[in-house]
Amino acid sequence: MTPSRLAILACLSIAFLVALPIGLVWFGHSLDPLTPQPESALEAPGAGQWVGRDELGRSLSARLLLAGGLSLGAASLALVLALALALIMGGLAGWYHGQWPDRVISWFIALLHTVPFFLLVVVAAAVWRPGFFGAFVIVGLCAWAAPARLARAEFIRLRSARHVLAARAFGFPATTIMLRQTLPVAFLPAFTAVLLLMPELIGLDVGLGFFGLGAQPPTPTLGRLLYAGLSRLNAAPWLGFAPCIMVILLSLAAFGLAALWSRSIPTSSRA
Amino acid sequence: MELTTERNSMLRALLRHGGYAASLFLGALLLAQILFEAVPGDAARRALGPYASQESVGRLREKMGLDRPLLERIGGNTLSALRLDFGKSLLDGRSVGPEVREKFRLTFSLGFQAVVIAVCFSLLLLAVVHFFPAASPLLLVSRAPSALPSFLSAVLLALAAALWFPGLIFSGSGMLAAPLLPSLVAAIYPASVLTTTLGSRFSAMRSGPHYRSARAYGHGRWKLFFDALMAPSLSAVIAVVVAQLSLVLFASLVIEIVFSLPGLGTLLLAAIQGNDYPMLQGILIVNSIVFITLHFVSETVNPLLDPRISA
Repeated sequence: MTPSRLAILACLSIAFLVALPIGLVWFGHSLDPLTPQPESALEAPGAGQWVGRDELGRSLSARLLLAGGLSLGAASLALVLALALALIMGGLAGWYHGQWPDRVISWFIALLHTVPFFLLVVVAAAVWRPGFFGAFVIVGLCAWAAPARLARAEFIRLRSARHVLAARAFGFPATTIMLRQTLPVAFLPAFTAVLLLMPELIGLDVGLGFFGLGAQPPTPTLGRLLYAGLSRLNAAPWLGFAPCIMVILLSLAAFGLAALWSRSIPTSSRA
Repeated sequence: MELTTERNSMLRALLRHGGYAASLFLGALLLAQILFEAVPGDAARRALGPYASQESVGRLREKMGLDRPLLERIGGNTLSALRLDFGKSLLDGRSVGPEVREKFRLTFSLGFQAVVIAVCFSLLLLAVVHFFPAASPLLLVSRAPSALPSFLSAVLLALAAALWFPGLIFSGSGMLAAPLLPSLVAAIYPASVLTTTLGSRFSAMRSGPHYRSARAYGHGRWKLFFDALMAPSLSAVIAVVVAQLSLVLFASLVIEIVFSLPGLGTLLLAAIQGNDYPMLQGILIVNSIVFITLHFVSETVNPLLDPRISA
């Protein structure tokens, strides 16, 4: 991959994972998403309000933007946490391949891989009630298993690569070799694998909303808006369709970004 | 002699996989125990709410075994869980084990039907593309659902049906509450993932020496499809299906709520709303057992289907 392409993809990723959630939250807040106007309750989409108003007369466009920002921000938080854990655990397992750290970490990876991930998250969120962002910390703590397998495989492959052997021959300590020679190469496959999980992470907010977990009123998240919209489908179908379209747009954007990254990594390292 | 050696190595692999699955099963039990031991504050107080009297909280603490030492409690609960005894529901006193097993039947049949539909659809579509290459844009279209959250299709279908067939969908009766339609909905995501994975695999195999040799021998299109493409991909089908099971389960739970089906999804919802910890624990552990068993079966069967995979 050329440095310019790498720079463009890095900028796009930062824009999607950091700038877009902040921008959506700021823009949504500026449109006043929380003040009710009972006289305009369930107003249909029109020139003034392009996606209508909810049952309390609040601007659905403002709530949608704020919810999109919050849901994307929480999913990004889970992504960063899962990526960090995947690189640390997968890296250690790969570096000590065949030794006890590898066996212990691989066992944990297998455990998290076999226990139903989404059910584990829902049950943990139900038991601990950690709040909206706390729920996504739990997601991050559970979602690292799949990318960690890739990171482990990369570290195993790179352990015998020529540049790593050369660094060893020069007497560099193991930590330096891991951080400077293997981690940058193992980063991309793990990052792409986590990015491919993004649509599910965004969707998980909707899933948590269905079980009454995650964000609580009046905070709007896509899950809560969609859940609320489903209960008023016949009276106001736009309340259900609008958050659905937002979830689709964000998911497609995440998938597209992951596909771009996936094409940029060497064939030998692809997921 | 060779046959005996092969049989011995298969037996060793089976024992190794079995031992590993048993250790994962114990790990899942412990994980579930730790999850519920780490409830912030008093679990009994949380379950009963802030207005419950101290006596009733004390009674519940005793019933939940919270008055016993930690290690004794974890050990006792793990042994009970091994016998699939998760205690009684805090909401209505029903035994958790039989209740979860009963509800699991519907969720399992929904998920199983979804997987069967997904595999059939995927193979049918790939066969159509194999015999009529002009239909290959269908493969691109079938990729779309895999870019979206797995259960979004259920929500979209619920929205559409509520608009076009009002009264049918949320009533819990009528055509849309029958298990086949929810299964079809749950099948959309795994079918898309399977079609995408197998499509790329088939396309790579078509340029491989195995397929080209089969063509050079003059095999017909049917034989090429079944013998040169499908047969060597059976292990991949199983691997993809097993990898998607977690998503299929979660989609099934949400779909059950959307379609008002009395399965694990609705049981889970009731347990979450009522802080019914034994029920939550039972649901988690029963599903973990099933998932670990399915992974074990997949790891055992795959080397038999494809000798290139080491046992």
